[in-house]
Amino acid sequence: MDDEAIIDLYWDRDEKAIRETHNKFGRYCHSIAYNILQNRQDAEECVNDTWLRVWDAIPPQRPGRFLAFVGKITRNLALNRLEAYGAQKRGSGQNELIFDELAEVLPAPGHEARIVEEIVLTKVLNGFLAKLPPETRIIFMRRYWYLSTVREIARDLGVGESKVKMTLLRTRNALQQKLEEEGIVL
Amino acid sequence: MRENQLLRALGQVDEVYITESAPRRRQPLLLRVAAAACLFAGLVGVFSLVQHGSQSIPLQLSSPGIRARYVKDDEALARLPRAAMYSSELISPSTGQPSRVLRGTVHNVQNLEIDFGEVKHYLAAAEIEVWKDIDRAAAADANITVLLPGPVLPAADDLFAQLDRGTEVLLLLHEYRSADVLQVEGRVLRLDELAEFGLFKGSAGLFLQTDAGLRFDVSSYPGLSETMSLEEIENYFRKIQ
Repeated sequence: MDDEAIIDLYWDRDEKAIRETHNKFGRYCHSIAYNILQNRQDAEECVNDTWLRVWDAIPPQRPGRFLAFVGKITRNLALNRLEAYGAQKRGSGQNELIFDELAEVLPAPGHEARIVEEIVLTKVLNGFLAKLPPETRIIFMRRYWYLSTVREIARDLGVGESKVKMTLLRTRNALQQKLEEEGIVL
Repeated sequence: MRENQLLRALGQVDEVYITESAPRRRQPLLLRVAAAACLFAGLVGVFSLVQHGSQSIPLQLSSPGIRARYVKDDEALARLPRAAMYSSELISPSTGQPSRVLRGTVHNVQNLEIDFGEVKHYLAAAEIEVWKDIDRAAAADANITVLLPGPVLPAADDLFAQLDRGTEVLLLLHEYRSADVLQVEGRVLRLDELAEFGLFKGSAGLFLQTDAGLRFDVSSYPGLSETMSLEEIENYFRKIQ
């Protein structure tokens, strides 16, 4: 079933919508949640929560890119759950490495500036991503949006792990420079 | 946490990029094998072209106008004057201590051409599978890229020519930071755009265990001339670190 037809089911308040969404995007959302939480049960709960959120959101929303729409919800739910577990849980699995990589790039703003900073940061990130070569952008997004391992990215893109690591290093350096240029102090 | 904030901000980027980078669902093994078989004939034809081609390296932080690419024409490289090719002081400091001492296995070596306009430099990048970091208690398990001070020519009579795939090595390395640059004709090349590490002091940073025995630059380490194994070399560096 195509995305438009599934969205129509939501608008019709037909519960088949959830089953169809699960059939089409269940594995995708599970991989996002699992990459973040590193726990199958937590990931399954996150995916189930995602379907409820989608049910609540459509209508009134009508997503243009349904895959990204459900993926973002799963990712946010998984990050919320990870935050709730606290730093101790965060240290498990490969995520600690990803957090360390990101910590090198960004400053720590005051808590009260958080919302504004996120909006500004997202705008800067969009501009930054737009200028990257497609392969570099995909590698960067796979690592920091999908939290994939270097090995998974290399396998899926058919390139060496070393190339993935070097691309990530260069892109992080370029992002750091971009943030400095935009006045986001490191 | 600041890294959380970046993760959250990244979560809100344009959905085009999320869709574009979504992991593709892997096909069942049988389908993949069938697809591979169909592509094989075509790939055989393409392979011979690629053998003599080159692949450029994107440079985003270096000065505009510098071009870097992998080169595969060993014969053309061999015709260059050798004195002009090796430039260890250009890729790592000539003094101080190495930032890392690692043991690993050579996975791949590719020659590089850096074109500054009027001047070209020839280097090489070695991909090393690391399995021990002798400065740190934890075992290492990673692939790294190491910049070598000149091209690797199989017919040459030097240490670099013996960097065959599968060769066990001990490396003294300089870890690249943003300040490590190669400046030629007013143009600045960020070395960390080429590799994570540079070989420390050129051939003096390279120790190989070959079928013919241990190989290293004995003139740089006359006290180790009787050494027979990489384990002894490792112990030596453990003591002096």
